[in-house]
Amino acid sequence: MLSFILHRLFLTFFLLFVISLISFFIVTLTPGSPYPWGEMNPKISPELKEAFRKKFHLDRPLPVQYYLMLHDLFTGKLRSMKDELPVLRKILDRLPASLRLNITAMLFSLSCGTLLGIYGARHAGHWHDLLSSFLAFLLIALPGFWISYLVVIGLVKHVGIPILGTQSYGIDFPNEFSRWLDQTWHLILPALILSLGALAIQSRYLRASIIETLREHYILTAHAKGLSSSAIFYKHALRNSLRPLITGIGMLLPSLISGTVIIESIFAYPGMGQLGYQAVLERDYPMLVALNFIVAALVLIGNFISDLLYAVVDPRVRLE
Amino acid sequence: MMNYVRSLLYGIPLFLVLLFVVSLLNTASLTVKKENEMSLGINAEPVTLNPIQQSDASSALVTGFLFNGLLKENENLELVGSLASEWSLNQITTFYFLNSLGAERAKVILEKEKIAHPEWGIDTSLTKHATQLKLTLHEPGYRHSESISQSLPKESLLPVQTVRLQRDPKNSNPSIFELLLTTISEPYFKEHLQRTRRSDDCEEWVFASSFSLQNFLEKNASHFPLKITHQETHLFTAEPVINFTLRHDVCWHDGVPFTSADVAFTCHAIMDDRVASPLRSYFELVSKIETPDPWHLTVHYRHPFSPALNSWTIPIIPAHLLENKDPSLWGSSFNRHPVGTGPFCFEAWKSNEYVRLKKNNHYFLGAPWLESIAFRILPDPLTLRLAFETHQIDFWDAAPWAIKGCSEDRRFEIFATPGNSYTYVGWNSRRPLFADIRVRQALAHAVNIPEMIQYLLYGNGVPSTGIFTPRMWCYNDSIKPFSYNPKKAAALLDQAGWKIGHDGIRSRAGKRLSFTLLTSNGSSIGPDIALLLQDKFRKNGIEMKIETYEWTVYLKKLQEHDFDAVVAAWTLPDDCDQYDLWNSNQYFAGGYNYTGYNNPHVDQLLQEIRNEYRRPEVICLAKELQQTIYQDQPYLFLFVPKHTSVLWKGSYRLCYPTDHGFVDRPLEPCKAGWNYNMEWFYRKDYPPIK
Repeated sequence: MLSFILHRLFLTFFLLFVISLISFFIVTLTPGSPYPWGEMNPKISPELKEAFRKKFHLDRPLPVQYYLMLHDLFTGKLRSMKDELPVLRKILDRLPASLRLNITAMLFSLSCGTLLGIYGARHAGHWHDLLSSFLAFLLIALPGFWISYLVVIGLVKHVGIPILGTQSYGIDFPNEFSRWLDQTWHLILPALILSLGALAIQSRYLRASIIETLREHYILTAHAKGLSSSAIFYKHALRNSLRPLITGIGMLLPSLISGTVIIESIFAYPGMGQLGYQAVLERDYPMLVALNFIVAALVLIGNFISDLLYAVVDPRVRLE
Repeated sequence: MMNYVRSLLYGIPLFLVLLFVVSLLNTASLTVKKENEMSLGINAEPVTLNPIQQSDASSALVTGFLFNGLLKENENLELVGSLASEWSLNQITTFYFLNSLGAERAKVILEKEKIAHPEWGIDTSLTKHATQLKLTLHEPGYRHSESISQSLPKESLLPVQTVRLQRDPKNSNPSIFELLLTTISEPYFKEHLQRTRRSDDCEEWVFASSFSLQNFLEKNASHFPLKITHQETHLFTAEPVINFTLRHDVCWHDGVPFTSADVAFTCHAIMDDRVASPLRSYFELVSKIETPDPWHLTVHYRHPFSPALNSWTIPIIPAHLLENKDPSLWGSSFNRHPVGTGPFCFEAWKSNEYVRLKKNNHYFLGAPWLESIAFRILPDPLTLRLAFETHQIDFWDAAPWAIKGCSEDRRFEIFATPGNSYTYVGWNSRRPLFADIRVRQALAHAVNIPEMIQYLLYGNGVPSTGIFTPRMWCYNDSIKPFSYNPKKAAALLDQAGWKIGHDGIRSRAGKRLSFTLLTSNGSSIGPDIALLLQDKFRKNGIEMKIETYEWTVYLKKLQEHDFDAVVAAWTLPDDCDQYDLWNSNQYFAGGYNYTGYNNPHVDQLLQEIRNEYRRPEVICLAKELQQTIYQDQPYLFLFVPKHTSVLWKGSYRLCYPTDHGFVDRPLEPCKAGWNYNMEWFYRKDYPPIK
């Protein structure tokens, strides 16, 4: 176990280094310059551009820039090219909100997806299964942003309930609990819409996996021994069909982080997705490198957790 | 165990649904408290609230309420005083002579001529310093100084040369500039030399001498790989001076009085490399700022440059809060928590959600009527519209397709005025196809611009008649746009020798009239314009291919002049100085005259506009400039989109102070825009108490 963890840690660091190298070169070699004043602005003199380049080491060779950027990143001095604020501070400002959104979405999609999948698998072949499949494909097909727009228009215009932002604006809350509930409301609806696509996909994976497990011989034996069908299902079949679900968890984290850009901007919910999107448009190299690093780290951690969960769920898997 | 699993499986979604319902009911029960607050929607978070470091629209909107400049524009876009109660312009003209005797003789001559020529506006004192003679003139500019120089004896007068030296980048010897100076060490050369470093490879020298630097460099090109990229010679140096008298009753939001030291600090900060201010080019010509006392300020410029006057509308920042702080520390302190002199004070900034300002009770023109202003940050255009329709924000900038629906709704009021940008097709005039003016004019007659405005902007635009937009004070409204006249276009092309070939496309001497138009997929309207143009041109026997590139690649091609034609747009500032766009010496890689326009008369007009301080004369010159360039058609000037704002009818009125008391009126468009004096808006249910 210990050797497994050490091995994975070493691999993670190595991967992070390679990822940061690749992302740095892609970002800096893309055409377009990071000046915050726009390319075609006659009022910007060449001296100003030169001062900017000197300040952010853009006149040094690329490998030197890479080293300087990593050095600044790890000493916490890395500054965004857009407004010279420390990059880590900007990211950490947005990270809690983003994590809350993603974790809520993940909880919802996992639990509801599992339920939907079980519902379909238990009544495989009957109309319940058709209904579950139909629901799943509907949720996959409907674009998240379209649903968001409908929800926002319906709520804000016709029902008159605020939804934009992390908190309702301009309200004196009677007590702290009311404020917390209001923040939860602003969090839960975008999280729900975010989870819809992943929910459907999870349910399909699980349903397929359960149906396959139910065909195993030991299930037939259990029936022969006289166990109740629900006991067979929950005690034996379900546990053995969780593998695709866990793979899904590993892949869920990165897709949730990237999928939030549109939903964040529609709900005006400040998260890391928007930060990254703006940084790409503005060619804010330090921010992009730092964001890539953090997101890569989160993804690798997610993979690591899902590998551990394999061991928990499936006793045949030995971590070494 | 399985019961545990089952309960978890059903429990989590149930819990989430319960939370959903409870929080929904809670939010639905909350009521928004009615306040005397104006809400504006912005689609991006402000980058910084430091006005000398900002360059995005959101930041500019917020700092407009927090800070003041020395001057501001009134309803008719004329300059009036804001933090400055008065200002006056004059000029110090200096003549340089070979020797002290020449200067003495000139002084005697001028004392006599001064009385005969009162229009020169020479102030009483004529001071002589060694070999220099200094005059103070009432009017800045070159013309009077030139007439004065005519009356002086030519032999003793030294020409003042301004040269810009560019070092050959392949030669890496930096000591070359020092070497040059010591080789030509004439005493008066050293005395009158002003030397400005512009970048690592470029320096600008001003010296009074009859020595020809150009000849010297040409003869010694192998030793000194320098070339002169710009040269100007006058018989004098003319240094305009602006004298400001500041108001005595202005305080910063933290109570400290505003003085001339703040203005001097702002200027020095703008020129500081560490601050990296985009306003730097406005102050590069300032040679000296004097603050004789806390309420007087004198600014000296190196040579006449009339757009400099407009630059004094820039906001002033407090010296007492920033002068002892390293600029790299401003980002996390002052820039997020600004202190200004404006009608509103900074209150709060919740990152990516809102910025709130509260009223400044000690504002020098009186406290505003609104209690606070909130800027809601809503990145999505649809949610902006929704927020407007549900009264969460008070104004909305409508996109063209939404305007018809809004105009039919009687609850809304719409203000649509031509904006300050125009869209055009730029022809690469260095390519033989577009060198003939008849071809360019034919292309202009071949397109139906009103139709384009109808289809692409839903009618919300006006045809462009040149380099200025209708909103500007120098706009020439007597120019008629080129009419849509395919027959005339055909006639012009036939005249130029382009006859229609067998495939329907014109050709001349075996070459077909075919070119490629560049557009960018980053622009929503560029590709559409290209398609409409392609159709109209084909009907006239012109083949136009379209190439669409990503935004940054498109810009790169523009700057490297690698195009036949390009669809683009300019957004213009309020002044009429367009030297950088149209002067023939701005055709280098990265220069803004990227189509290669070359007209010596236009070059002269552009320079005269820069030299002329009197507004009526500038308007005449600008009108002539617009007419000339429009006839020359270096661009196919397409249209000026209208800027449309929607608001709830009657929700706000304007009551602002003037010299004759308060003016209380409903909102209406004026030259400066419907939102002129926005800080003096008041809500219907909170009328002003005067």
